[in-house]
Amino acid sequence: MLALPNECLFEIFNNLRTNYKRLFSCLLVNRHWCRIIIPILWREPLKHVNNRKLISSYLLALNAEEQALLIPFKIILPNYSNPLFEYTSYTEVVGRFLYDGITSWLNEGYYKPRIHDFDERVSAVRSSLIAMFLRTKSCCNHFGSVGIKALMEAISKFTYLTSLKIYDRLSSENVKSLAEALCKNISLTSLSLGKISIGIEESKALMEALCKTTSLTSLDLKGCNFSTESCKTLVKAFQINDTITSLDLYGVGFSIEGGKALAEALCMNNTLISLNIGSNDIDIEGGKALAKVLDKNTTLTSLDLRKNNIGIEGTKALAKALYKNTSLTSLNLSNNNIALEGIKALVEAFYKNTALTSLDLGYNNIDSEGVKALAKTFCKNTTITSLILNNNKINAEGGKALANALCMNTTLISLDLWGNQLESEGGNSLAEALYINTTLSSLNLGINNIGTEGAKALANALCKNTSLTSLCLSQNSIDSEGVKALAEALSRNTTLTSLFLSSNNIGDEGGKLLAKALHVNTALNCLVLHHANIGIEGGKKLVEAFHKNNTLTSLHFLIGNNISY
Amino acid sequence: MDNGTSNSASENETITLKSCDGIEFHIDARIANRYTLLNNWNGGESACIPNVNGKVLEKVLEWCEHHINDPQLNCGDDDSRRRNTIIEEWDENFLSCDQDMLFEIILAANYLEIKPLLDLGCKTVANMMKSKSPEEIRSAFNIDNDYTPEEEEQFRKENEWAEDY
Repeated sequence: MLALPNECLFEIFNNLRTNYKRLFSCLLVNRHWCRIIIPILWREPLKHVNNRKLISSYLLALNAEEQALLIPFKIILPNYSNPLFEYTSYTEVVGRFLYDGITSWLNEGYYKPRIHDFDERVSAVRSSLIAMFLRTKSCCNHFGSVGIKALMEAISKFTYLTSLKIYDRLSSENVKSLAEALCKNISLTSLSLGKISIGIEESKALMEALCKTTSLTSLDLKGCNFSTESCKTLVKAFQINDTITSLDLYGVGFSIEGGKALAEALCMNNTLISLNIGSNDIDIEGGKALAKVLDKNTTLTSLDLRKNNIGIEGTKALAKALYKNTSLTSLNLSNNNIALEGIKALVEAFYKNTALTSLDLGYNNIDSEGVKALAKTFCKNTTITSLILNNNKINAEGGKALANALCMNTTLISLDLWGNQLESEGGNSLAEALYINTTLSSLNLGINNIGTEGAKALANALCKNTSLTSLCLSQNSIDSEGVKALAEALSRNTTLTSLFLSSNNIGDEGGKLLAKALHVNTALNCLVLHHANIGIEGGKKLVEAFHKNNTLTSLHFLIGNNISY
Repeated sequence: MDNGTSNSASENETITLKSCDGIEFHIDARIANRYTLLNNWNGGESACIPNVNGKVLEKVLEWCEHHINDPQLNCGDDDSRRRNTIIEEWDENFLSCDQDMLFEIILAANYLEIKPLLDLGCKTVANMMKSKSPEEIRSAFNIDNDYTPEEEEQFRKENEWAEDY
């Protein structure tokens, strides 16, 4: 047989994915086919198959604690040797046939039908299997209504379940029984719910559970859908709860009112460390309310407020709060229309604040005026280590201001300028700063039209610089001449570990030059060259160099180049 | 996929493709636009297709020409298309070639990223497994059995639920 690559074999067998009989025949053909088929065969049989043999195979995966659940019922488990594959780990859907399969397993061969505690037996087997799915997959998908019920039982009974992700769209009843189960559970530390609608009733049930829980430390409600009233209800829990340290409320529809209510609750909270309330339209007023929290709170270290339209006034209020706050270390204000005035207010705050180390101001239309104001503080600032300014309107002039700041700053480790308008002039300025600066380790200049000239300047700087470890120059109209300079730099530089050059016209020659440099370079461990017009010859040389080079661990160039497979 | 220049080809334009063994084909430029096969083709008038020989390329292009007016499917339609197990008569005749050629076509379609042809080829192979025992499949595709008898027995037992469906 002509050898087909695995991806083609996968396509072939995937056509048969619910034709279990035919997959079974193919699986027994040889080991290679078996390895490809098992994940397809075991993906969702419980959605289609009501079979006691299937349940038998699943029961082989129970561990001692799960088996113990069956002891009171004297249920005898099948005693084959250890399974050849971890079949359960491939199962993504625990559908409606779980119950039917268990009934049929208990009836046929092992038990007389309809003995007095039959329903309890079914329930015990179901709980043990659900617990096993939770353990082997650490997340659960598509349990269906029957599965969810058993899942809740498992949560109430088992103490080793520490982390739970539910992707199913839970019904209102499900949410309430989950809340009840949470009240009984003492082991779950992390809970993540899929995108579900949380009305007032569900919110109330969850709120009560959150007031009672003694173990939950992380709650992820990202993408759930709250009404204003249900927001207000849920957040009350955070006046009382003293276990949750990480809360993710990204895109749940809090709006101004919800934001204010949350802020009010947080004024009484001394536990939360990390809060994500991005994409909630909490607006100026919500921003101001959260600023008040920062005035008093001493535990919150990370606050993500991206995409909230908090505007100039909201930013000003937050900036004021930063004067005194000594605990917040990470702040994300990207996509908030903070404007020049907002920047100026933040700049004032940075002169006083001594805690903030990480700041994201991406997508804020910051122009050269704004960046000049920022750059000025960065000449002196000694706390911020990571600054993100991606997708703003920073031009060559702004680049120059930042470069000047980098010449004096000795704290900044990472600077992200992806998607600005630095042009080659901005690239040149930053290159000059790299001769002097000795702390910056990561610089992202993707999509800035830096061009071959800018690339050459940066390449020259790389010959001297010994602090930069990661440089991104993707999509910058760099041609083979620019690549030549970079390749030369690579043969001298001994600190750069990651270089991103995708979407530049590197060409076959450029590919060969980079390959040549890799024969000498001993520092790089990641090189990315997608969509770079590299041909077969260049590709071959790169692969050759990759095999000779001992430090390079990942070389990516398979997407969008003209190479053979 | 379709960016800038490669989008503008009209009906009358042709380009020349060269197989790895040097055979040239003149094809409707719209075919080149439609499939990324011609990633290699940067808007010029000719392109080289390494890894695909003339015999196979001829078959692949024959298929592309026949299907030139098919509606384009979005990536999102992936699943719905796969579920459709019906193969049109023309396609069935087209792929009722010898097994080596069928596999060559699948390989080429995979390499040239002609997704509908790849699906079609895979579906055809999948259909060839119909009501065959493992031994019959092995002899049909000339595959060696590398299981130990014990191993085969255990796999049979652990997966035997599938046999009934």
